[in-house]
Amino acid sequence: MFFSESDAGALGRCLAQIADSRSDAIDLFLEQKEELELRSEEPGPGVVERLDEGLAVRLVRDGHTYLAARDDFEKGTLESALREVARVSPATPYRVPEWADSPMSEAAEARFEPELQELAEFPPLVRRLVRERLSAFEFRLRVGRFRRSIQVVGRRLVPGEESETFFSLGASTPWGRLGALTHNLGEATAVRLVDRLVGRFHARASEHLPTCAGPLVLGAAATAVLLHEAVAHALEADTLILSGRPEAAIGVPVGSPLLDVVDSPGDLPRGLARETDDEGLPVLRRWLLQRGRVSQPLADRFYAGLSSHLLPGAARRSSRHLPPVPRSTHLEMVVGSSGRQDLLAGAGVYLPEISRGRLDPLSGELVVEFPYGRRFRSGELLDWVGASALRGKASDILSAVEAVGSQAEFEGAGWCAKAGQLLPVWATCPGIRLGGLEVGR
Amino acid sequence: MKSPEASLADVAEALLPSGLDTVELFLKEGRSRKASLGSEGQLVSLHHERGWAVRASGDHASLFCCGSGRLAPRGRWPAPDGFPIKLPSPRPVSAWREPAGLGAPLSVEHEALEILQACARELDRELPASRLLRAALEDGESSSSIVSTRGVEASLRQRTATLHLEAALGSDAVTELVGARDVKAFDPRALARRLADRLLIRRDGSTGERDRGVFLLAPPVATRILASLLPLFLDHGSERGRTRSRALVGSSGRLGSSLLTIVDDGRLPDGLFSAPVDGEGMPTGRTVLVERGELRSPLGWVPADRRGGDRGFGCVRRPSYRDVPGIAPSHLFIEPDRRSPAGALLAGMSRGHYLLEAQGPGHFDLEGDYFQLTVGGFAVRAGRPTSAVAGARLAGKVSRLLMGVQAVARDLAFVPIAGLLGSPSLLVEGLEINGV
Repeated sequence: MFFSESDAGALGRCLAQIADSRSDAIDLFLEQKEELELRSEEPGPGVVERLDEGLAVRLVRDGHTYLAARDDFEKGTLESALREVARVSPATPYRVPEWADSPMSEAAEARFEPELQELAEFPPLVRRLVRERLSAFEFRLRVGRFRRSIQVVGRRLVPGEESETFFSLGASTPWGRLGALTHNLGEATAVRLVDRLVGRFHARASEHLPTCAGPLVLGAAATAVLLHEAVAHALEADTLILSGRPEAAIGVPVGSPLLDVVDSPGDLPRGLARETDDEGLPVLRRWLLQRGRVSQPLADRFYAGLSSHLLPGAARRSSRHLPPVPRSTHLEMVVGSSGRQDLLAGAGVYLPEISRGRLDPLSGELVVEFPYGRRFRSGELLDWVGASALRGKASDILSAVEAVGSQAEFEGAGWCAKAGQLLPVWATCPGIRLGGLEVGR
Repeated sequence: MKSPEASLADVAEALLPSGLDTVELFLKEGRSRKASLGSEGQLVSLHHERGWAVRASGDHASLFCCGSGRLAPRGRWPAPDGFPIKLPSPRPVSAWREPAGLGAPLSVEHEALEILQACARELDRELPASRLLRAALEDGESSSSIVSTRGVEASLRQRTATLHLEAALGSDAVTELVGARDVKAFDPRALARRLADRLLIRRDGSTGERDRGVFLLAPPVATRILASLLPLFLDHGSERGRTRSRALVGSSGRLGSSLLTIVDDGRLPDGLFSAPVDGEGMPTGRTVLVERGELRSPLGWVPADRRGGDRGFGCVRRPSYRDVPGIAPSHLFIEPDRRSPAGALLAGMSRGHYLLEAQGPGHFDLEGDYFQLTVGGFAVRAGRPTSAVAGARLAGKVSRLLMGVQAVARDLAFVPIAGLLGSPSLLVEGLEINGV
């Protein structure tokens, strides 16, 4: 806890002094985080550590949001933030309890020991696995660990502290950079990274894939990014409202009936799973698509307040300096019945990963880029192909899903950047097969 | 509260047992007001930011640590790793006069909101069918100090405001991002007109026909191209950097037309990021990167007589205390020709295209000497715009683009990307629009 339990009521009373109307919403957001990165294989500092803590008070009144953010927990910090948000000088000072934890120097140091050992063991593991593939090429690895603890305090509700720990991997090669998120630095993670590195190595001299209309098979990692762009971003209430009422999307078919997709922050592995969102509201197992139809868009408290058909619980906030926004956390796709041989039947192109994706929120146009791929025929992977891209309406691409794999894999879907907020996103997906689409340069 | 020098002494003492004998401490404090209008309603916020950063190096390893709040004595630092880094020695800083308005108070809430609402009103007046999707204004000030065990002692103040607008007409959306020292410099009517013009071009324009005529590239298009050339000015040393230079310079020994001069100036008069020192406390100045078409020294280049020593002018940027300092431009721009109005260049075109905006990120392959960029603007006949062009593909060799610059206008304009990048309008030959 950021403060002793007996102080929770006092903090709630402080906030209640400002939110004096029943329709006002107010919260206090407390945050501590640490990023520790090992960059020993590249020029510049070999170790980078970023410690960050602070608080923000947010008042929502009559559709207007007032936010005051601070970079410390020192005495007087909360009072001044409260005064700014209230926008009046109170008749009596706000009675703010002392923090149980004192500033970063002690609290965060106890919470975040800058232990490098687990990071330092990962690059040699990756290099050994590359050698075992009888491959040799130049690359530099960067390994980082992110730890974050937050707590939201409302007028009446004080949910528990939420914490997350995960790792980021970055590799620079002569053929470009690749990045990944993972929840552990075990051998399975290293194997997946080596697959991607070796794939790029083999495809380095391959020509860009010429326009190809055969079936496309996306690996689990590529499916994760595709769903993030075409389903999650498309169903965020702040995206939907650009084209009309967000709740109007409910029931609309946007993809193949084979698609069942849920956002389930509570089902993430230990160290990532959430009970409440960044507004302190309980997270849901939220069906985004059921049999290809929109079921429940992603909404936070603001958008849920606009329509009784929208449910809050999907608010995310990359920093106290920014307001919460509706975002997905962990996409799960229900597995299908197609084994590997079924997915790779006939002749087409297998695309194991997506390097970049972008959805135009107004037109619905989606572009995803593949760094490399492999041709396949009758279940067998053949020659490597170079970079390619898939372009089209998101709904057309989702409607082209003609088979869903039977094995789901948990993946980091990457860092999601939207509206200035950089957030880690996760997915548990099988591979999928798309028919009738063209992929090309 | 301890002085920066006293804090440095504490940190240096704490890091010495780890073999880190050179230490630099950066302290920053700032405030910013943000206001936005969008689908989520109206947001106003005030941010107090305070942070510190330490870079330290020994003979065999180094580290960078930073944190929010006050720098307090720490019980434990991470172990250093990797390679040593070279922290600079102090150098004399020539006289500097602070730009006017640096100490002006931040805009107040209603002032910030009024600017955004004025943008919405003006856009509605210019183009009633359009929508302002989002408007965000940020007004901030900061002061920083840098001290190091090598003897550097420097301080600097910054004051910047940015305005970001996003507007739509049907399913077409355009954005404008502008920066100034004072929010009063933002002109809602002019910005609304620019947004409306661009939206109309997208609505009414067609890709047009294939053409190899003359192209007048307005500052946003020329700046987008300049941004793609940044690797050329930041990295000559690596194998990849040499490959790029070889591909573009070719046998003529020139990068571009003799009308092309590109500079980075950390002390640009009235420049938004102008400062006496850079993010390492080194004196800033004007670095010529391309002079009359010939490639000169890159940013951060170390003269041969100072190998192992310090660079030319300071060009290390720290966008925030959280960022590892790195070589980057402050005001990097194509030098304008003060005698040449853009209107005169347009009037002199018998046939060609006046390209006003880049309509996508484009594809720039410097090693392969090839680029393509989706653009919008007007077809031009006899010095007059005749029809709108949108979604057209401008493509060709990067080297031909640079060698094909026939005239440079005086309308230098900056865009706040990667520092500030700027260009005047450029009249260019040798490219193709809508080629196969």
